[in-house]
Amino acid sequence: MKKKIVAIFFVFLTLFTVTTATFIFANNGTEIVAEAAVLKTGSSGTQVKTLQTKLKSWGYYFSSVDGIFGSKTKTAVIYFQRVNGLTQDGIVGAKTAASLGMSLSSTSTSSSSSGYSSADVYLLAKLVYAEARGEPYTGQVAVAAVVLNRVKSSLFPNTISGVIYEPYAFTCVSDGQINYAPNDTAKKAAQDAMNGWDPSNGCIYYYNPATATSTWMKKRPVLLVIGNHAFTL
Amino acid sequence: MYKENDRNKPYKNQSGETQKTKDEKNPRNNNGLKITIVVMAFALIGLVVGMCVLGTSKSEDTTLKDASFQRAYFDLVAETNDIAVNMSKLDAANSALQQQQLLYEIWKNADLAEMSLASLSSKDSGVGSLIKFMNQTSDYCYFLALELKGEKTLTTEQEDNLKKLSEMLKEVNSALSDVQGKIENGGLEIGDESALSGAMGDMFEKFSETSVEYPQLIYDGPFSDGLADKETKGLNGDDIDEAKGNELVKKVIPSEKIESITFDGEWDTDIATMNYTVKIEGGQEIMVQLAKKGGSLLLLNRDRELKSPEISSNKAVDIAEKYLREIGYSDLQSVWTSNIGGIYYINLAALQNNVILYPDLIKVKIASDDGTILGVDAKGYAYNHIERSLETPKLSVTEAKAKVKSSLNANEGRLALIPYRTNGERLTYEFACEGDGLYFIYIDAVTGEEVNILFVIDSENGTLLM
Repeated sequence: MKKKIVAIFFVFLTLFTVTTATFIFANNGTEIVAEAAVLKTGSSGTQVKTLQTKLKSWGYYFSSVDGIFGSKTKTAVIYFQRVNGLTQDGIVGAKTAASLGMSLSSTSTSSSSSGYSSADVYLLAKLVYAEARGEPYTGQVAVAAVVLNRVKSSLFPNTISGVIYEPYAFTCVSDGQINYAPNDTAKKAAQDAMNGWDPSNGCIYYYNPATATSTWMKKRPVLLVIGNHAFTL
Repeated sequence: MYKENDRNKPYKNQSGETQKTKDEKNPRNNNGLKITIVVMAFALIGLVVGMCVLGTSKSEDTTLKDASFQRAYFDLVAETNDIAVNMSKLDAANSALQQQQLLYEIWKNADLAEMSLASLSSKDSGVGSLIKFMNQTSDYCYFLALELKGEKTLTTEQEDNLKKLSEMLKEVNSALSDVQGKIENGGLEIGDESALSGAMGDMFEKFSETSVEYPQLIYDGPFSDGLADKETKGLNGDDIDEAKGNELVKKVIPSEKIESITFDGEWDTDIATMNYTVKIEGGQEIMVQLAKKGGSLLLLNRDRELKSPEISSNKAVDIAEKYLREIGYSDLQSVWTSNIGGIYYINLAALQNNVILYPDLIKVKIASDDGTILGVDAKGYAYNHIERSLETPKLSVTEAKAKVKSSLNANEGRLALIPYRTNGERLTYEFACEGDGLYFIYIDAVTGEEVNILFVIDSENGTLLM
């Protein structure tokens, strides 16, 4: 009887091991992020409806909201673009959509306004989100700025991807958090840093004094602290 | 993959047989026990198979990772060898054209070597110093190649500098072949976190600036150490203290009710700053950074949700100009506007006798919903703004315009002082040109040389105001 119980126990243990192993391997997939499209003459659907509703409520569009992008919608879009200093092409691309507060991504999960076409800004935003999403906004801009300062520094690779994917440089690359989709705040922080905002004034390292394990890093003089991160040259 | 599976078979048989022999020897043979044993045998087989599957996939991953490290290593060896060869050739070359070509070769080799190095690099600073060496070699050769223009030959001083770099490279090469030896003898896994620094540790020591003399490069290139000791030409006045800063902060917060101001400390990086967090009505925070010297605003930034856009770009520029006048910056002209995610980024440059001073830049972020100032970056201005002694143009606008490629549709043009390489400035005529896209072309106002070409990648991103 006792042996039976032991045997059953082994069976469960084995099944558990095999299932876990399978689960780990099955879980290795990567996240796919939807890309933005454009709305232009001939487009139709719910996004065109959203567009017409927005344009109508702000006084750019006077016809019915029918979900069809025709000449009247185009005129309204050009009118909107002129008032807002955008290229007047009558096509709702990423920039115009962003100014309208619309998201053109096909999955439309968030209503956030993002106008990112540059792969670099997006990669930078992913790093900011993975490394510093709980930090104050200034701290997020500073983390993005550290990456850009590294690109400029002779001690580090000369591209954003080179700096971010340098082995062991950022923990979020080793643990896979870099693959999360960034939120709006992280994107804005990355954009600010790309436009020159650098609260750290040239720092090329940061660490969390509470969790950092590198003694070499801890020996460097802390020049400033933002949120949980200590920054240094 | 197949090898691993073949190896599994004997294991399966072994475990099965062991159970059988035990079974035969047991005198208390009953059905319940038989079933138990069979189940147990299957369970064990399952366990072994499961472990093997796990083991195989893991080693495949590791092998692939190792292979990419190996590739990076061999690329590194190949490129450093090429640099050494080209350095030797450079030593023998006597014509301007050959020298320029070899310098371009080394520039490319060193760049590739740096990239390979970066994908090997580990946690410690050793690899970093080798990256730095490669970056500086690459940068110096590029600088020299531009300097020679295929017309001049290297000066003795430049040759001496290159010789020193060449000596250092020989050491890198011999250290790298030591690593190769260790890999071939199986004593070293290049994929190990610290393999490279472990094998080259002594050499890395030599690269740290204090122990070995390698040429302090005479220019302040883009990858130089310059960041730490940049001059702040645009700052004057006495140092401010925390209390004085507190007063100044109130003046730069645009029209919002301040609830509290917290001093975050004095940060002494490449520029000494006084830092404050301002809490405004509604609980939002604004970061404000003032220069310790003189107390002028260097950086202001905040983030908030944006509503639907109401403000045109012209209006945003007006708001930015008015705000900057109020905090003491007059004589600025807006030179670039872009709208990204509902935020206007407006660049304003200083003017001197109607010449645009591009290095003296202030950037302002304006919310497109209600025109709130979301950010200011005045560091370009702080570092560079000073009364210039501008040269008198030798070319007229028309003469300069004739230097622009005729197929481009250039506008009327204007005088602009632009940053050149890293520390220099050149007085140029700026032409906005329509071709296959939008270009900005800069023609030196004194020499007529085509100094720089900028291309607007996404013209939906912004408009230039002229």
